[in-house]
Amino acid sequence: MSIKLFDSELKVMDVLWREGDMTAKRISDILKEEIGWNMNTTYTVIKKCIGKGAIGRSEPNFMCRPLIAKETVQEAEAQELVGKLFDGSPNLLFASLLGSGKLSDEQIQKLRQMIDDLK
Amino acid sequence: MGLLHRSLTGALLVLVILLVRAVAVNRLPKAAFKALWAVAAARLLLPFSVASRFSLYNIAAKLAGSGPGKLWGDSGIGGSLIGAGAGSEPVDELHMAKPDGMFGGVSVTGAIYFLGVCALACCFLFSYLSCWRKFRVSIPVQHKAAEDWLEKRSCKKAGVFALGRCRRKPEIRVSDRISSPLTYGILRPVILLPKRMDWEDERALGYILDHEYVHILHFDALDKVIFAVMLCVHWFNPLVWGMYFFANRDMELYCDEIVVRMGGESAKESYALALLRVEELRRTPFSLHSCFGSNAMEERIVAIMKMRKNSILGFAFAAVLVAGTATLFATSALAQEEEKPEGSVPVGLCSWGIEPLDSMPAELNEANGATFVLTATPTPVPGESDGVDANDTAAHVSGTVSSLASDRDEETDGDVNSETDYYLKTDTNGEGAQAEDVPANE
Repeated sequence: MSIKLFDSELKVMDVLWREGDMTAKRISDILKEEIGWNMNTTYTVIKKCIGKGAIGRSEPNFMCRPLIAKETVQEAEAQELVGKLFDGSPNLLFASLLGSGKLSDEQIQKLRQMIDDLK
Repeated sequence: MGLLHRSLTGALLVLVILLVRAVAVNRLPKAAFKALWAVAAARLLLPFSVASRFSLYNIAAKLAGSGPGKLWGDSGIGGSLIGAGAGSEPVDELHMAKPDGMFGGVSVTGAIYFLGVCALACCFLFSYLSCWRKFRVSIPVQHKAAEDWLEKRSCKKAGVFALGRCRRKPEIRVSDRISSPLTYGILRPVILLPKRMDWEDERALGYILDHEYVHILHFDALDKVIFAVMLCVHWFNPLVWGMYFFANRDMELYCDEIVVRMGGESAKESYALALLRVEELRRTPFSLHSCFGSNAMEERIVAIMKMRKNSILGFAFAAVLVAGTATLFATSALAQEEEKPEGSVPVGLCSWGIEPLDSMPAELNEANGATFVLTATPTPVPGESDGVDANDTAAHVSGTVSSLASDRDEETDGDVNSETDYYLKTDTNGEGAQAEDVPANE
């Protein structure tokens, strides 16, 4: 099951993933500071997320908790990218990352390490 | 000045502007078109106008040797257009207040008009709301290229683009729900960029940001609102729809011109390419934000490539063209008081006297059938009409009383010398005037 999240919704989810469960008011305060959204805007986005099943609401004080893990979303998005643009072959995506020349040596080293760990 | 009258005269002006545009859009500085559209919008929206000797309507009126607009109202569309230009109210009365189909004081035409205004206003509001919902969840930009642009434009040396000039510093934000850059907001302007832009191409990004910034400097967001209001008010006039589409296009052309002029000859090609690379998914005709529109894209590319160097002559010619068009089509005829027929004298109020030719009946309500003479004696204006015998210039109307009504309920004992105003309806054989509100005396 993949939930499609817009950038605005991902921003809200990000706050929850970073800081843990919190009230909607807290989320809106943080976002007001970070990206300048007013309270109504944040509440609207939170409600959208609840509608999509990404946030769970519990009643004292409109507590929010993420119903979907960040890793799940990352995986789903990556799969979609591979499917859409790389003909279903993760190798091509990997090659693209390496070939773009944007990875630092340290990052390449870590990638090597990850492959080794899988073996 | 009536709505219909403004609409008709405005429509003529729009037609002229469209003709000029068809012929010379790439040969005139785009500022000329901006000025012309502003004149047209003023003509359509403002309830007053400037009178000028050189107005087309004045010239036409003089050529036809016409008198007051009242006479023109009956001579068909052409006549009513001239009459409308002459600024006479009665033409509107004739055309707008048709007696057929009156429902409790509101005519059917009036009701349809208001329905149209409401429908169009709702379209605009709906579009604005759906855009606003998308815009407010945008995220501040985090790409270095954009931040660099903001810094570059903040320094004093940036010339006409210097952000210091503009007290409303724009915010740059990113949205994943739009596919073409745009700018919105009058008091707090925001440049909104689509997420899928090529953030690496700094030059193209710079051009796009410059273009949107020029929109902000010129208060184009406010202009769009004004045009929208104008379209709502004049929705029945197809030429005003034409104006709406072309005025918006010309706004974009003007911004293009400024950006390319700042960049010089070499900027033309890269700017045109930058425009082409910005894809456009959907263009809402009712939108209130400035964005790149693909319908006009071809016109814009051609305009950019054909852009000529600034020349004093070109500027002067454009200025003359704008001033001439405005004077000719946007002003109204001089007031008719200036026309004085032979032997006329300026007068103050007229005093009216009424004399029965037959003997006055004992009861006023038996006055039906009595014949009378109505005399209008002008009260001379001291100092201007000395030497003129007022009695010589009195006008006479004779007729038969067909009904006599009083605005007072009480009996007046047949005392005709009371101060009651009597309404006299007659079948006169005079021209034009009907006697009303005649204080009966003697």
